[in-house]
Amino acid sequence: MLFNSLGFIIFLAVVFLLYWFVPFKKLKFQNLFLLVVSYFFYAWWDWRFLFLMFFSSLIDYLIGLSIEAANDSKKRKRLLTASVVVNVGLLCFFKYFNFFVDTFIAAFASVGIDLGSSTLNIILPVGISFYTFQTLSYTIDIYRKEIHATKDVISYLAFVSFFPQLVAGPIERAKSLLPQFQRKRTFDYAFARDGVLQILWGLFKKVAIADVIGQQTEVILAGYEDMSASTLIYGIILIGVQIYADFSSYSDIAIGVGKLFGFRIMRNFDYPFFATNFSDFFRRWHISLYAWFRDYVFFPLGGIRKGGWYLFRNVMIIFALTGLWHGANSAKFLVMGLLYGFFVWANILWQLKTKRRRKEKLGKFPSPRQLMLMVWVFILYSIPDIFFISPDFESSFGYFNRIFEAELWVLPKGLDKLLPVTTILIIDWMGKANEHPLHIGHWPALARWTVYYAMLFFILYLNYGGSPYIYFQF
Amino acid sequence: MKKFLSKIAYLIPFFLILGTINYTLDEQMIFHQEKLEKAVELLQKEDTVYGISHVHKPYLHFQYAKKLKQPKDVIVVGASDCAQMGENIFIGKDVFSHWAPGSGLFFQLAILNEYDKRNMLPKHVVLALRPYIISNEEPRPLSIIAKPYQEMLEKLQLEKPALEFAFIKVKQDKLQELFSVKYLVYNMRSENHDIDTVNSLNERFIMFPDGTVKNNFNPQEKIAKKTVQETIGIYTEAIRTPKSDLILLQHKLIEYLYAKEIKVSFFILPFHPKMMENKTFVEANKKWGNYIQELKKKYHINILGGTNPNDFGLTEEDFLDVSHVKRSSMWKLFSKTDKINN
Repeated sequence: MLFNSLGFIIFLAVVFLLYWFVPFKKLKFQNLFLLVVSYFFYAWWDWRFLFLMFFSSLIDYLIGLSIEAANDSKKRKRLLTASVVVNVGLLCFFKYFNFFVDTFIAAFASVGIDLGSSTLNIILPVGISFYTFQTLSYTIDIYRKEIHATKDVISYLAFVSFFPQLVAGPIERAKSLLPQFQRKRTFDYAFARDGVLQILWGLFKKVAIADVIGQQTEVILAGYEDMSASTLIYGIILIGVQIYADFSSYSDIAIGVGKLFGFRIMRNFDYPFFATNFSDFFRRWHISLYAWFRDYVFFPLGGIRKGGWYLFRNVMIIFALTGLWHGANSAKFLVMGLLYGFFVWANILWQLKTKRRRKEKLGKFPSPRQLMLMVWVFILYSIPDIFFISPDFESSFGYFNRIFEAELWVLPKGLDKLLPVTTILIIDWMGKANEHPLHIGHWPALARWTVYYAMLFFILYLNYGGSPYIYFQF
Repeated sequence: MKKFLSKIAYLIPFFLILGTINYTLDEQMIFHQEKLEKAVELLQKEDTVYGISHVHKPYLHFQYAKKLKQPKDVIVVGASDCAQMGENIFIGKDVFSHWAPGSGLFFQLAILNEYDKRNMLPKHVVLALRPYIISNEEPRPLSIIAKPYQEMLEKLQLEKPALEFAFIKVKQDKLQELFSVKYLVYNMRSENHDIDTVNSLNERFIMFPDGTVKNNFNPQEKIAKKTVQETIGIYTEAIRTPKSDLILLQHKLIEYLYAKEIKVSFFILPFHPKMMENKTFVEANKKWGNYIQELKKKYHINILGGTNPNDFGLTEEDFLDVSHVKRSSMWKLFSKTDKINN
């Protein structure tokens, strides 16, 4: 059930009305209802993996209680290790098993030993990378005594499976989302209205920006061997914007749906294209994932405190892991992560030397210097995206090779796609002070409704039956 | 909450206006199928008709079959692959091609039943044969098919498969069209398509008296790799997943027509040459070829055309797009058919 499909709109309307109109006297029933609809939503994808999610959630729930009850620090550590092993083990099996087996076979083959092919046909459960990290953060936070383990199994299971952010994030933290399940929720008009507008903006970004640009990027990626260098360079720009529009649209819809049910889900994107340095970019991009690795891996490793080799090591570990988080079916994600890591490390070094501010204040219009920095950051972000979007490592390299071989001074193909690119950049710029750009409550009613209707019109006109989101593969 | 719901209700006028415009203009005659009766009248008077939208209406075919006064020599029943199978191929014969985009076996049964009920079956029936005919119940289920199809099943002494699902889909499809912004834009952009006799063959949406149409749109210069891949995917899947009840249905239909001493032929439009460059598809096509040979052997049936474009000297330039051969190239199929199949 894709967010941009009619099925989801009907599902959402029914669940919304039942949620607010069926008088749940007890919070427990409200949470139970959310749990049931979330499991139904997940089962719509593939019911077989419901048991996996339930198992993974239950293990962490029980381990969380045990850590809380244990006074012995060694025992607490052992329990935390068990949680990490189970979660990472599940993730490794479903996401990385074939990669490890293939690598093993290839290593033996390189010395002349043929082990045959024994790769299993393992299907990746939808959203496993997201909910596994969510449950893992729960046990780690209990271990760190940052939160208390909950005894309310319903609210805990509902927190893990909460349908808006279940399949593609944001990866919520227990300390932020779980307490929201444990207090009574009442309908707030302003909050729900803001949620609807965020959903509208998210749908517009997906259908009118990401999917429209995607028509051209598909053609470029499928036929890069025959394309001019100018088209391939242009393709890199388009791919960069497409990935942002596609992924951030999912987050916007997830957050918007959360608001409809009275939940505040964390931001996942903070206008990353307006970052003026590369470290800042990753504080604005896929915030929930990078913040997760920052808090649970980077800081424990020492962060930037030690400097020198340790700084390089810590940064590269984080970005290698975030690269691998995307998948290990090919080395392409690792290479992408390492490239980003290198850029961030170089940026931190430069910042430490020059003592420049981390985040620049942006005015009504960017200064020429800020504009140049934004373009520079965008270039650094979008080049490794080719590894992200290409089907395999070889075609990523093929794409780059072709840029140096093909003719450069010809007009790129599909220049009409600059329209959605500029549309999103302008709208984002105008709305950058807010969580999403549709904070236009101060506009006259006629102007506001014209905008809403126009967006709805484009969503309906350009939608082709709900194209899948890029991040669903993770 | 009341305030919230009342604001959401602001969307109602948007959809009301949308629905009203779509219903009123209705360029594809989705909600005003009765307008097609004029087309039937003109076609049966052997007139060439202008104004029948590219979404060819099954309604028109059923009306045509119901109102026909004299049996035809040949009728062709199929999907868009039969859009050029008329008197240009069966020279000197009285032919009508009943084709509706994406239609399958249910459509074939239903149309033939309309003729059968009135003892108007022709001497020769040509049935389109594509992999989805035996793998997909009805790619585009339409309410108009349901009754004559079920009647035909009774004649064949078969239990009806789950056609009820089709009714739900039909209603859903109609509702979607009513509130579709795409259909609104189509309606606003289209010229007026009042059905009438043609003045010039340069007009759009022209249907000849034999049911074939004029493809007056530009052929695709280069077929996108993605389109080829998608088409390969659809056909490979269809070949690999035949349904036994559909095969039985097809065999029963052939036997029924034979029992009425009607000559039956199958028409197979070759696949695009780009598809035949794909090894996986070539492998799948072998399986499909075996099925065709089994049919031929069992019923001594006449096969017109074939799956491999190279057998007929068809090149990419002979194709309009990934699935259709140009009208001007159709003769190639029949100049070699006898040599290849007999």
